[in-house]
Amino acid sequence: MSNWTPFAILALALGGAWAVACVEQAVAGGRVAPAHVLRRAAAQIDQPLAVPAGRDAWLYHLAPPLLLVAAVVALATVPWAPGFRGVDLSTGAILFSAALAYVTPSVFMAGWGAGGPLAVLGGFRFIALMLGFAMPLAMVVTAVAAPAESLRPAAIVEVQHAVPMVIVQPFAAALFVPAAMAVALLAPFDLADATTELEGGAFSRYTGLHAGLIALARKILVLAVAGMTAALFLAGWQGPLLPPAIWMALKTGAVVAGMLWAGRRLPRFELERLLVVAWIVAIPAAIGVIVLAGLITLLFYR
Amino acid sequence: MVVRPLRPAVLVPDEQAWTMAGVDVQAAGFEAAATPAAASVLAGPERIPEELASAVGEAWELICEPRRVEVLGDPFAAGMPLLEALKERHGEHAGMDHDEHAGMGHDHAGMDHGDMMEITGEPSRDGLVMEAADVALGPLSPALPTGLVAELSLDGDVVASCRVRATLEARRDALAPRAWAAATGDLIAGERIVAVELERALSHAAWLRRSAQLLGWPLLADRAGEAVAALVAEAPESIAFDAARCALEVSRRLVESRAFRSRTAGRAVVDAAGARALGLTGPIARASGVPEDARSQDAAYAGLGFEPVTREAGDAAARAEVRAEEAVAAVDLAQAALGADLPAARRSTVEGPRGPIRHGTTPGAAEAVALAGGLVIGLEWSAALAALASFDLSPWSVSAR
Amino acid sequence: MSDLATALVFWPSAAIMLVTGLYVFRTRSMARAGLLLLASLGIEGLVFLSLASEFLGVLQLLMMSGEMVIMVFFMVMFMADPGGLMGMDMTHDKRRSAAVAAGVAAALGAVAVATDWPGTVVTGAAPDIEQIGFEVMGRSMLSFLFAGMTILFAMVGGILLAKHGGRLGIPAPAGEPRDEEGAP
Repeated sequence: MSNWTPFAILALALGGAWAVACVEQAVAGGRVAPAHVLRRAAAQIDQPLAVPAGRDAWLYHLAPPLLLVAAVVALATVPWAPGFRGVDLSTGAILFSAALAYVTPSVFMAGWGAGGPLAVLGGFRFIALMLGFAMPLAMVVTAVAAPAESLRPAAIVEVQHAVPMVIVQPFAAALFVPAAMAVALLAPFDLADATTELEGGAFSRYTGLHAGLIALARKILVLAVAGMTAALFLAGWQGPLLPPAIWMALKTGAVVAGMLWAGRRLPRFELERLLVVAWIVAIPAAIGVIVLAGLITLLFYR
Repeated sequence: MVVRPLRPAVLVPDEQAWTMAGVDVQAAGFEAAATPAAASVLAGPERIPEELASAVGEAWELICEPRRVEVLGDPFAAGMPLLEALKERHGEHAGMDHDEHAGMGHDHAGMDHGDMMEITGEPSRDGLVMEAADVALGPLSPALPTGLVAELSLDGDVVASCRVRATLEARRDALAPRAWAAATGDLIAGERIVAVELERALSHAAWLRRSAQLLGWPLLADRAGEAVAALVAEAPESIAFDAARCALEVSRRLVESRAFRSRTAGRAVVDAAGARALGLTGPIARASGVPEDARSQDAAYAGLGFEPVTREAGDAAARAEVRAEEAVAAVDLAQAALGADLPAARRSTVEGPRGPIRHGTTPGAAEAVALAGGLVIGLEWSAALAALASFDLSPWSVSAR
Repeated sequence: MSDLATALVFWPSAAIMLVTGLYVFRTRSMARAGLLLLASLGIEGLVFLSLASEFLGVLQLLMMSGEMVIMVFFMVMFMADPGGLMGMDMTHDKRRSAAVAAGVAAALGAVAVATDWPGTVVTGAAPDIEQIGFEVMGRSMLSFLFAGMTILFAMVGGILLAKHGGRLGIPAPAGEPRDEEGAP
């Protein structure tokens, strides 16, 4: 990690958020207008702040910065290229889970701070959802780290030089991707801010700079989650012919497009069903995935 | 992949009646916004119903700059001019504290700290006493048809009580203008069938689009929106039948899919005996197994090979399937009637999209509104809203001449 | 990390930890109490990071977020005035609890000061993950197993005790406020 890393990560965050917005437009079947995205963002930030007479002003104001910090830290742990590994901590994969874990309190703070019953409902729904999904997310990261014998994301990328992890541990990928989509507030898991059901839900009372920060943070989250999926399961920057950074960009872009596309093709899931799946299927399966990862490590990676 | 122009987010007062009158905002290139804060355009007809005036005024207050008003057409003969309505708002509340009294969603809880915070109620079914919240979904809520008001009381996230009211009044059924005209004897047989069936298909397609948006399913919303765009036209001859039928067929298959059924099956069940006793009509009754359809008595329809579409289950999924299938059949009937030579008989009873129209009344509409609220009690919030939407309630009550 | 950098992170973090920890008990809102505790224990993760204990620091950040969210969830679920807007006094049995708190604080302080802690200088490259792994799976496995089981039983038992009527959920008589803490 050099002195330039923080600046590079911030630049990546802003540029990546803009790119995710463009991909969103493309997936929705509309015309991709890159300049329009920037103009809308500027217009949103220009809006005046209308603070609702809600329940808790402190939490209301603290939620957007917390969400943004969580998103940027999660993005910082993703390894993009052999020369740019982000914050190259030896416990990077756990830091990724830790950063994502702060999305839940910030969504709760947003809903609770705003105070209307639908906003609070959105916040609580998200907590209920993430309590069930956070464990498979963290456990699968452990399973993927086992063959690499390291929690450093760059090491996990390098151990996939022969075959991507999605082929070696498909169940891990099947558990990770939905959990990652849920934590990034993506459809069909967008229970916290169901736009029509909850009239905007947890984030409905934000305008102006707050709303702009939240929109930015959400796009960075999508990028971080997709980047880590590409790094952990699709062999990151490994690939023939093209430079590593290009491979990583292509894979991340494909994951982003895939997640957004899946969101359009599936109706929003209901909370009860998701909770049943999370607690009864996903968590035992995650334990099984860890056991399987241990076996695979002993048999193939030693 | 259909490439569409960029869509500014729009807030629309009274979209449904407007669509039925021939102006569809979403087909015109706008994207429906869920809250006023997310919208940048307020699109409306030249005149809006007076009951919506204050709600529209308050919603306009919540739309942030840069904002503009878009007036697309003048389908209603009476009502308050839209631009005047924008200046209306509640006298005693101004400035920033609008959220508690905005037309979009009343949150009594935000203001009355006392009853929001006390846990003194009855325990709910799992033994926990949860806080009760009152939510009033106002006339401009994205979850309900414009003009319908629902007062719900939540026990945690489960609906404990629900009361639905239709707040708009008119002298005719604004959501089925051509069926109404046919019932009052203004159309001859061939034209009548074409107009009524196309209107049915349009109404059901618009309902499908709204339900899909409520369920958070852009795929179905897009397909239904394509059908609406194909069917919204002035002259029957200029309608793209094939495009409409294709889009409706895809929508029908999506409605019968497991994804849709998982959100709607077994909810808000109306059984056949109950439907008969309450005098329910239209798709609601047919989905419960009561095969009443005013078109069965019409010789012209029999000549075109009409069969009423019924289901047995009576739940939200059955109602959706009935409407989806009826929409496809309606396009077929309209296309057949366009070329056929039919006897010029007049009927006093015409089957509209929501039920028969007879002697200047819409029997069954008010009963459905009264029934729907009670049937969603005990459902979780999103399931309750989806079940309410499955009734396709009309926010208009037809006043006597 | 250099000494200056360590000090720059350690001392402010410790101060914030203490202040937010104190405010946990001074606020009336349950949601704020839980989130302040999250802030306090989350910043502890930064303290660990500044002391070159990378794994423990990151793990602390990860765990505390989930735990405190669960705590806020349960507090709002079970307590009578979660918003803190009715001015209910949430403290009970003041003298005895103050005495117990003072006693425990004194005991822990004595342990912290009087113990002869081993002093080793750790560099940033210390393989702490591997050592922690071997420690947990080897010598400390029994204690961690028991700790985990005890926490689980405490959680389940706490919910059963808090839920009126126990496991079968016998409903409370209508109109009676559910105030299981009793009179102050």
